[in-house]
Amino acid sequence: MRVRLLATVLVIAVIALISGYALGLSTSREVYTVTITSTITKEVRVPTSIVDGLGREVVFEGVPSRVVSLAPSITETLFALGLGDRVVGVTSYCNYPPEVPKLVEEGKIAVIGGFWNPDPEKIITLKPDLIIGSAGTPPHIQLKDRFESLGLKIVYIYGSTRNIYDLYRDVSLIAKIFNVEDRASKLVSSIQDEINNVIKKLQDVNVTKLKVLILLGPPSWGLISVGGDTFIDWVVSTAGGINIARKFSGWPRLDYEYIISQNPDVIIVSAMNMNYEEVINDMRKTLLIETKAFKEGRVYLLDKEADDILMRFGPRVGKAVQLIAKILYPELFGGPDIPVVYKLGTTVPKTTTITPYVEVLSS
Amino acid sequence: MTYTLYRLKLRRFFLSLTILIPLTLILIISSISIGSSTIPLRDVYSCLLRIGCDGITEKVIQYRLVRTLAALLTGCMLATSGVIIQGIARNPLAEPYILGLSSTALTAIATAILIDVNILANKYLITSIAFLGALSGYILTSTLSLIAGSSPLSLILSGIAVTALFSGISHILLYIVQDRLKTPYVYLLMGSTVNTLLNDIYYLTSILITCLVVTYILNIPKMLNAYLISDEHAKQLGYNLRVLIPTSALIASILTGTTVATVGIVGFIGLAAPHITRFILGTSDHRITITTTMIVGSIITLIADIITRVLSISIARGEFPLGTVTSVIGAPFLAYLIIRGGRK
Repeated sequence: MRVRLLATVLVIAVIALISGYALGLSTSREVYTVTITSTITKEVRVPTSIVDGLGREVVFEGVPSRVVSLAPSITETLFALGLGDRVVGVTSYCNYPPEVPKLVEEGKIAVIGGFWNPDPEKIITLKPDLIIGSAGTPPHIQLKDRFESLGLKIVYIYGSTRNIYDLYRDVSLIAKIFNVEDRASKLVSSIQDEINNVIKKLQDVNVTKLKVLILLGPPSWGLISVGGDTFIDWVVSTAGGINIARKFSGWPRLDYEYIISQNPDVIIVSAMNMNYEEVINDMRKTLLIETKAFKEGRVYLLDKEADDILMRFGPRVGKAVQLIAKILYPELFGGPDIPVVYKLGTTVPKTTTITPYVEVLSS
Repeated sequence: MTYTLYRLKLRRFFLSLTILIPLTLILIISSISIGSSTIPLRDVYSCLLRIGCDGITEKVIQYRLVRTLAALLTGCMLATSGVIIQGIARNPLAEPYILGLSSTALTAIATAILIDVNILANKYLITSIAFLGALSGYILTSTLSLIAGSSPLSLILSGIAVTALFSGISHILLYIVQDRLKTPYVYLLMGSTVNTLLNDIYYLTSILITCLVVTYILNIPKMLNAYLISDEHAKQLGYNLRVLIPTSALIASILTGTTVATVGIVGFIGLAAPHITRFILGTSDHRITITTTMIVGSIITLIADIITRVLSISIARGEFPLGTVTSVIGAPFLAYLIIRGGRK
């Protein structure tokens, strides 16, 4: 019994051996061991760290690709720096450059509420890896803790700009985050060129400076002007004017006697989408008609694009300086060429054509 | 006995008038002289008396005169309205805005702006819309009160209900207006004399005179005196309370609504001026309190208006709302009177 078992095992073992050998013979191959050594250079970016408008240090491991902008000027800066493809959310106020409303219509960019009241839930659902707000806008600062507790990165530009250097600081802050400092310096120099042209022309001729009254809205809205510590004051004085509300700060409410005693040569009104004739008629009923500006017909209403250019301190600030210079000294610069500027006594243009988008950054 | 008391009251009344009226005149003159460019008093007199005036000074004085008169009239009207409302409510805490006028006026303006932005550029349209809004607030309140049995308490309570509802609605609407106009600065109906024009003065004056004439012709002061003692006393004298209360409330509402529409909401005067008057006169006889409170109210508003102007120059922040200043200067004086009255 034991012998038989042993014999079977032996036979199986022999068969296995032979078949294994035969199998080995039929498939046998030469085996090489090749070691390929090559150098793959993988770009590992050194983390960028920036100090934002609130004085916080923020570190970026990579370049953000889904950005939400909380202000029209931030949107304009992002697009001017060629970062438009990274923007996924803008405010309802953002209407420049023209591709923004187009992209919103196509659904590629979402609207996250207004400038003063952004909707945090909408921002969260967009899953951004960077939100850019303004340190000069209290509702934006209120969002900080909420977003940080959710692990969303929010960065503040300085925002409360008083002059061009504040703007350049904001532009370079954004450029540093996205590692596009070369484009920023190009943008800055093109803005500076526009401004320098105006300053140089004014210096060459040595004009007498005109006194300017800026009004936000018609008089019935409350005679609100711009103080000496605002960017609009900077724009006006750069364009060769004197803002009569200089000695106030912020956005002061003036009274008629102050305006009359200052006797402005030019009045510039932000029309707030109102009918131009109605605004002028409203002004006619007040003591503003006693000013030199009214007597000489130098009252200008800014609307839509012209209004945005002056009221936003963004990459179009060079255009703002040019616009005010053209309004103040048409004999020197030629009249304002943006059709949404309405001058007292002229007829309202029936079809307001929008001037083509001029690329600030020549790529 | 009663006659002697009445004569004592009258003596105090005329005594206070001899002090208050010159004070008002002094305030008017100084109000014209103080401002962003101070005009010497000599020039003010020579301009007002048409002796001689240079161009700019005349314009500035014209403007300041309008402002001063607007402040004066607003004070008059709100104080009168306050006396009447406190009388019919039999409640010293009642004030002109308690019938819900300011919130309905604000709602009306906000709705109008949302329908057509251009309304904002038409001052007269805004004024009339605000006035109509204020009046509809009164109508709503008195209807509610009528349904609830038209007692003074129901009038006040329905006023509070209407105020609560419409101040909520108006704030929602103003939030939308702010977004539509893309401006964070909503100054609608914030009491200020900055925007008043000469026509507003005519409007205010005519309404004030009409209301005063009607009040005295209908003998409302005497009726309110009787009503203040008790319902029965008033009925014994043959006064119909179902007519008296709505009529006086209507007069008070027209006075308040006019100021809301032209100057905006100016708090505190309507509440404090009647109290101060009662302390000065030592009585709540409406026949004389209505006259005196008008002067007291205009004095408070004039001082407040001067202070707003001085502040706007010295702090360099622009104009302040008038209502904040009226309460800051009026409250300490009221507190002083309360303490003195309490010690007696």
